[in-house]
Amino acid sequence: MTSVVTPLDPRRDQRARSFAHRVAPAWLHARARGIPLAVLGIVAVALAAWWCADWLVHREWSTGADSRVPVVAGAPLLAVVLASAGLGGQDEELERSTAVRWRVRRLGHILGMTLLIGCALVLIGLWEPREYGAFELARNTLGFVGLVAASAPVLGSRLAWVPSFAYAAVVYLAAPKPILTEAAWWTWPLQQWGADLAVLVVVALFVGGTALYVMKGARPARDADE
Amino acid sequence: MNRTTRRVLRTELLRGAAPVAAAGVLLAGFLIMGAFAGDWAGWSGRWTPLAASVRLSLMALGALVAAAAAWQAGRERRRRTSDQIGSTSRPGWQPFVVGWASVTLGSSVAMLVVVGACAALVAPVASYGGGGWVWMIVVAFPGLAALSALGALLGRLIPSRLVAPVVAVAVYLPMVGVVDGAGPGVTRWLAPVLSPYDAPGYTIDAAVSLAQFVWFSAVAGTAIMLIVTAQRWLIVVPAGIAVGAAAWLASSSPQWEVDRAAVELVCTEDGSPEVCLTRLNSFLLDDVAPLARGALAHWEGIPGAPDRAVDETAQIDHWDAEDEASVRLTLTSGATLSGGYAGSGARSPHGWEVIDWWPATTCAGAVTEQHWSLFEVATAWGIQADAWLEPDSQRYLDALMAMPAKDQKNWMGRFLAAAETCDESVLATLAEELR
Repeated sequence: MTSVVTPLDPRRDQRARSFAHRVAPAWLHARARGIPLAVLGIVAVALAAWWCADWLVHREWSTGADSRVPVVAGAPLLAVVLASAGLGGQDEELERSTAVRWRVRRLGHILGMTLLIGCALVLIGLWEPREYGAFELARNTLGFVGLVAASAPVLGSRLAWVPSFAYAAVVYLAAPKPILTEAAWWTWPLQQWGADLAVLVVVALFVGGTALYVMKGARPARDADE
Repeated sequence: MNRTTRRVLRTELLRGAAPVAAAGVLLAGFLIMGAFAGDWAGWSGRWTPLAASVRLSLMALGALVAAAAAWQAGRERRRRTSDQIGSTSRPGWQPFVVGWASVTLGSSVAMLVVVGACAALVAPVASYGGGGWVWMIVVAFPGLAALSALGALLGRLIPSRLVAPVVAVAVYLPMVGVVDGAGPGVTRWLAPVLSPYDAPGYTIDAAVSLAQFVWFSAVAGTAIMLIVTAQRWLIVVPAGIAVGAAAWLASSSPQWEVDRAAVELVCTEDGSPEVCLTRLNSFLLDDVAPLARGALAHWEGIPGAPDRAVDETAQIDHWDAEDEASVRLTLTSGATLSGGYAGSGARSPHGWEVIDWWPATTCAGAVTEQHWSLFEVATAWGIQADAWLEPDSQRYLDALMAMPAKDQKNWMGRFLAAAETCDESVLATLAEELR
């Protein structure tokens, strides 16, 4: 004979309460940080990047894989900029007064953001992963995440995007053409995967930025939030 | 402008987003212009490439200024002071206009400083001052104002923490496409950016610059009027002017035009092998002449060999048979800010080929294709550059270079004669000698 579980079953009630206890606050936290909207934005960026990369390579006067440089630099930047707003809360000082292990949560933010953006962009770059494809997209995601993570404690989460954007905007214009591997330490967003120096700089940025953000958190905003 | 307005504007200039925008423009402007100076189509010693570089820098500077304006326009909402300000007798549009004006003024002054510093470096060395470059630079300022106004409009209308970064990216990426040649042709002229790669030896008609000036000013006016005026019909005026200017730019299909005065040749007159540069590049003549003569000396004693070096930029307007047989000089990169030339061999410091030459021939394409390795070998021998060659050509070149100098010249003399008359049997013999 099968047992019938009624809505009043105490085991189910306990499970439901336990689920609600763990998931609901996490969902509320994610919503307060604008993460659902950021996820939608990241998916949109990935789809737009996929379309752009395909169009750039297949247009009449394309120079091949090199044509994807704007996508390889721009897509991780835009995705990280969209996600960077979630690095700080509505009222950072009030949040810090709560009994929550914020350092663990901050680390989760950075790793979750990196994984989500990295996976979304790597998927669109698998056709030619080593020629301005998945490898470079993953590397640049790490680099830009590191930059916004390092900026958040100094400028706050609302302005953490500024150094990354300004850096990428200037480097794209100012990098020597053709792109030289000797300049990889500062032109890492535009380098091919083979440039080891670019990978080293990016790893240093990611580790340094993450450590700074995990320790300090985002600088409390002076303004009210929108 | 009365005293109160001046005071409010001064306060905004000092305490709003304007100083940050101005500092960003100064820093990014100097970095970008510094990188462009000696690079391909660089502006060292040349006015039109300077103007085009300033316009290209708007890709980054314009995006930063638009984001700063969007940030500034959302300040009252962020600080929750909109109601308080709305309760005063001050018209609601004033804080918006003053905020936009402060960001635009601050960033324009910063850009003027960057342009002024670059112009001070070009002025003492430039050998050609024409080409309407002043108007190209002037258009950069309404271009910046238009981007700033669009940023302010979006910042005012969209209550989101993401509006400033999205505005920055939304301004930057389309301009990358414009410079890259993506999109319909007219978008090239409706965006404030210009590609400096088109600039050496070319110019833009002053009427096109005027139409762009009107277009950007009208776009800025329309964006501001959308917020400030209660009478919506007034927007029709700037919007109508903007549409008219855009329609003119679309219908007249503007292009970069050859600047004939800039590409006139200026030649050495001291009896040695002649070296001719365009007026645009003639400030490099003293530095480039010994370099070109060094290359020509390599040919000495070979009948039919080139005895003249000519600036390749002249090719965009005229290129006669005599020029065809000359050594070509590509001087669009490598100039220094002090007016000298940084290259010392066949390549510029940036790795571009400076000295180029290709044998004159009457052979049909198919025959040239058949003896391609010989033509490549002759060019590599002539310009003495480390170039990548097909494996066959590299083997031939190694064989040629292994010969005594006198035999090398003899081989080159026979090759030049055979290429000119397209004597296939001699070409086959010459190839056999290198196998």
